[in-house]
This record gives sequence, structure tokens and C-alpha cells, in this order.
Amino acid sequence: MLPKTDAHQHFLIAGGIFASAQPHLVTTILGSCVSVCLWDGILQRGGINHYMLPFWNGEGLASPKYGNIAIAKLIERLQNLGSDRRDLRAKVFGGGVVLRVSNPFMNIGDRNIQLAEDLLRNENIPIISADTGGTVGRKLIFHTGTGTVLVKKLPRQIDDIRV
Amino acid sequence: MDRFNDETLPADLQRRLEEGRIAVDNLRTMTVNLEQVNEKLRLSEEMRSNFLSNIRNEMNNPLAAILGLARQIADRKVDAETAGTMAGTVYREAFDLDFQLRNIFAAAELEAGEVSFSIARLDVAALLRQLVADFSHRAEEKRVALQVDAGAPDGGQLLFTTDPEKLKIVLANLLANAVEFTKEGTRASVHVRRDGGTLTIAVADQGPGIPPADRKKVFDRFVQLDTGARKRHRGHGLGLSIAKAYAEMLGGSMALSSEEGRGCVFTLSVAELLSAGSVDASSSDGNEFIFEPGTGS
Repeated sequence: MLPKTDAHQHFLIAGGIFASAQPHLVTTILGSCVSVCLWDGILQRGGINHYMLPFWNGEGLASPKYGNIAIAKLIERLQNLGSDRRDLRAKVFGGGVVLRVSNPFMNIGDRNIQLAEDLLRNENIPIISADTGGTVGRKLIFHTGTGTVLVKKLPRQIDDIRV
Repeated sequence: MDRFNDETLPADLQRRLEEGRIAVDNLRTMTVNLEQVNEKLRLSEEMRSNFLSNIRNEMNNPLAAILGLARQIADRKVDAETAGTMAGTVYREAFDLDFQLRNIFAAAELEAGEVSFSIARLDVAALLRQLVADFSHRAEEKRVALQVDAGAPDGGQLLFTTDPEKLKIVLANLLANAVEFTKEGTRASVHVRRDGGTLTIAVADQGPGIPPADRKKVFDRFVQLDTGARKRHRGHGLGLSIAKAYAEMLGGSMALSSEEGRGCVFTLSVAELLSAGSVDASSSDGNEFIFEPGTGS
């Protein structure tokens, strides 16, 4: 378990991004959604996103509900807080199969994971750990001050809990 | 490895050729789709830069009116009755500015991923009565009758647990659009229904309606169906994109039905929310994993 801490608490909703210079315990719940946790070991701070779909295709708002926007904005937020992108390390979680679909191309979870891997590779940010896929939901607690992530697998199938 | 004879070889080649043809076909379809998405993204970028150049006029004109009128009232250059009329205009211009700014802030917050929720029990009937009062001056200008069936008897309550601020922004935008687009001298109406844990609010206008091809597009950011020199309606084309995003975040949806020439009905459905703290995410037999901080590998 995480050590007792005086870090602030934050609940991250789907489509949200959180990054702070102060240590926070960020909780989020993932089904087919993916969270990328970025951590800067030099400044000892980090940030996390929670996206639902891989690509924004011009529909609705250009929000971090979409992976390509969520990852770019998370990197930008950490850079605005003073991080050098070369110091960033990534941990990737989620992307479970929560809805049974016959067509593998329609598996949102897999496509969300693939997107994180592709974009982080393009950005030269190494993924140092990951717990993705499967038919489970996940509850994450990310300590932005230490980079520690606690993952609890939720054995029953869940939809992404938004709130 | 498969062995082929004179009979099976041509059949196998035929099959492979066919597979190749299908693969090329799929690639073509994918390329066309990608080109369409690309075009859509380009348009979205273009609208974003148009927005930035339009915003100056949209903000400056009402602000100039407010400053000018307020100055005259403050200098006591006008009699009490004129001052009263002027103050009414100042209020309406300020109301519009405030409404537009709130939308811009909401869109910025959504696009930055900085939305947070504050769940509370809310009287939906009272909220609607308040919103109708807020928009009554706009309705009066257009001689539009605003009808509300608040799902509760006169003065009664309709309690529902959700994020009150977000619901208010969604409804304000639907109401503002209905008044804006309904024809002069007609009516706009709001119907509220509660069905178990689901709240459904339908906002109808008697405007020109929206052709089927544009029904999805109206929820995209910066999209206004009358643009350029013909543009007659105020706003930035953000309202419906915000309303839809919030509706989905509140665990609901936004639907549009329309009959051309007869008007539109926007229907918001949201599920009653639990408070954030009560989300049941614990499990007695779940696994726990701890990933120690990276070593920079």
C-alpha cells in the first residue's frame, strides 16, 4: 500500500488531465479507457490523463477525451510546470475489454493502448511499466510526488465510471 | 507446407489474388476515410482561427455600448426615465457578454481537461423557472412565448442529484438557441420528465429546422450553420458542443430531431449521479500492484 502521506487528493474524471507541482494522490477508474502517468524523476512531480477514445476526428470539442489530445496536453502541462521532456517516464494502465465485441478492430481498449505506445515512442518517452488489457476494470492511485502507482483490478466488468 | 497439384494451384492463386484485391480495396477505403478526417481537422483549425478574429467584434461591440451608456447614466446627463431604459440595455448587453464568456471558459476548461464535478441535490423545476426568467428579455424582444412544463406542479419541486452548474450551462444554451432560432412571434417550449433515475429535458423551437446532413455537425465546435456575410445569429458556435460534452460527462446524452421548416427538438437525458465519494470501486478479491518509481531506465 501507499505510505501514509499528507498529499492532497484528487479524483480524475474521464476526459480529464491532472498535473501539479505539489504532491497529489490522484484516483481514477478505468474500463476500456487508458491513463498515461508521466513522472519527472528530477523534479519529483508528475501528471496523469484519462482518455476514452484514441483519436479526435474533428467532432465535438478537441478535448482530452481523445488520446492524441490527452497525451500531447499532458506533456505540455508538465513542460509548463518546468519539466524537461527528456526526464519524463511513462506508466500506462487500462484498456480492458469491457464490452464484448466480435470485430477485433472495434476493440476500443486495444486501440487506446496501441495509441499510448505509438505516441510515447514518437515522443521518445520510455514506458517503464504497464498493466493493460484483459477483461478487467482498474482503479488507479497515482502519487504524483513519488511516481508510485497502485493498481487494483476490479474483477467484475465495469463501464468507465465518469464521476 | 501445403502441396499443390495442377488443379489446386490455380484455385489457390485465384484465392490469393482475390485476397490481395480485397486488401487493396480496404486500403483505398481507409485512405478515403483518412482524407475525410484530415479535411475535417483542417476545417476545425480554420474555424478556430476565424473564431479568434471574430471574437474581437463580438466582445467589443457590446462592451462599447455598456461603457457608453453607463458613462451617460453616471454623469447624470439624462433624466430618470431615460436612465432606466439605458440601464435595461446595459443589463441585456452585459447578460449576453457574460453568457458568451461563460461558454468560452467552459469550452477552454473542457479542452484543457480541467473539468471537475460538484454533485448536489438540485430543484430542476426552480432552475428552469430561473432560466426562463433570465431569458425573458430576449424572448420579449422577439415576441417569443417561452413555455415551461417543469415536471412539477406550479411552484413544486423536482429534486435530482447531478452537477447543478453543468446542468445549468447545458439548459441555458439549449434555451438561448431555442429563443435565438425560433421564428418571431412563435414559441419555444421546454418539457421536463423524470423517469426513475433518468431526467429528460426536451427543448423545442419553431425555427427553420436543421437539414439531416447538418444534424451531427451542429455539435462540433465553432460550427454555425449561417456563417460569413449571411450570419444573423449571435454566438460563437460553442454552445451545443459544450452542452453535448457536459451531457456525456454527466452520464447522459444529447439528441436532436428536426423537421425542416417546422423547428428542432433538442433532448437531454441524464442519469442521476451518486456523489463522487460513493463510487463503488472497491473489491474484496482484487489484486494490488505497486510499481516503484522509475529508475530512469
